[in-house]
Amino acid sequence: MRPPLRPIVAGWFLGVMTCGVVALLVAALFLSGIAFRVGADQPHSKLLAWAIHRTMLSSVRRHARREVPRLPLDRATLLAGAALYEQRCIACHGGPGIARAYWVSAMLPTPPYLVDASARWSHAELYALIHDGVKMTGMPAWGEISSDREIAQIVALIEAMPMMTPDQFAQLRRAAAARRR
Amino acid sequence: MTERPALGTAHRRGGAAWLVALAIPVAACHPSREQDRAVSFVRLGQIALTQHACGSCHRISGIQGADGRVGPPLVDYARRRMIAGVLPNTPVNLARYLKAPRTVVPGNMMPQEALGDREIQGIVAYLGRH
Repeated sequence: MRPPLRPIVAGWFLGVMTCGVVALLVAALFLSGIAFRVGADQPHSKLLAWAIHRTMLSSVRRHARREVPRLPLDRATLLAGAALYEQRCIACHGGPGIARAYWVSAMLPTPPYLVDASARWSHAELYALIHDGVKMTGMPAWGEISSDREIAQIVALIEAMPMMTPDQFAQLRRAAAARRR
Repeated sequence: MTERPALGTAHRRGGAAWLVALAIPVAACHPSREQDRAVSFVRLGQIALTQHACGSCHRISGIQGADGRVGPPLVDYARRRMIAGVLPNTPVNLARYLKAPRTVVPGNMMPQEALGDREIQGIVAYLGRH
């Protein structure tokens, strides 16, 4: 005995309609601002924070190009990197022994210190992070306004950071500043 | 006819329960920062450890993404004997160290983040429990 077709189709249709209506209601809750508050004075829920961060990690890993420029970690590269880092990076990310600007702890997500960055990211991923930026974090796409060489200089400085003492980093900053004058 | 008031009461009770159910998550979403006296020090410390990016250099239990390997791990901190190898681990000493890590240990990699007094108390309370 085959079940009659009509009730099955009607049931399927009703099920799809119910899902559609529920999805619309949930979307309306978000779009109207009832279900989500954008204010950055409250942390995300643990689940949402995990999901956003996971998405960011996966996206950077997936989209990082294989072939990116790599400069030797010599004095000239580090000086050029330090000059760029001073202008663009140090306020939000600090440096070895150097605190971030005082207002940065009010950002959500808050920018990390980068001494450990070369252990967390490959060379190509660091390049992608700086070149492409990160949506919804405040991280600019520096590639929009810089040459590939400049991005590579910043990556070189970040990769050299864990090999420096805070005093050596301070010296490098002074030398980079003196060269600009 | 006599049933009507009873029904009204049930409605009102239902409405009140609904409001309470709504208010609980709203209240739960609102513990926040420095100035809010209703927030416990441990919770304030948890937020401060996150917002001051301590996890980029330290491993800290209960802080998302705190898996840094620059400074010492702060896991099981309450049982640690010394701070930065130079100060006995007491709440007063930890507060002093957090306020000026580079004064306590010259040449220190650990930067002097701009921490409020309540934030420092919060971090001391949080680490004392983890």
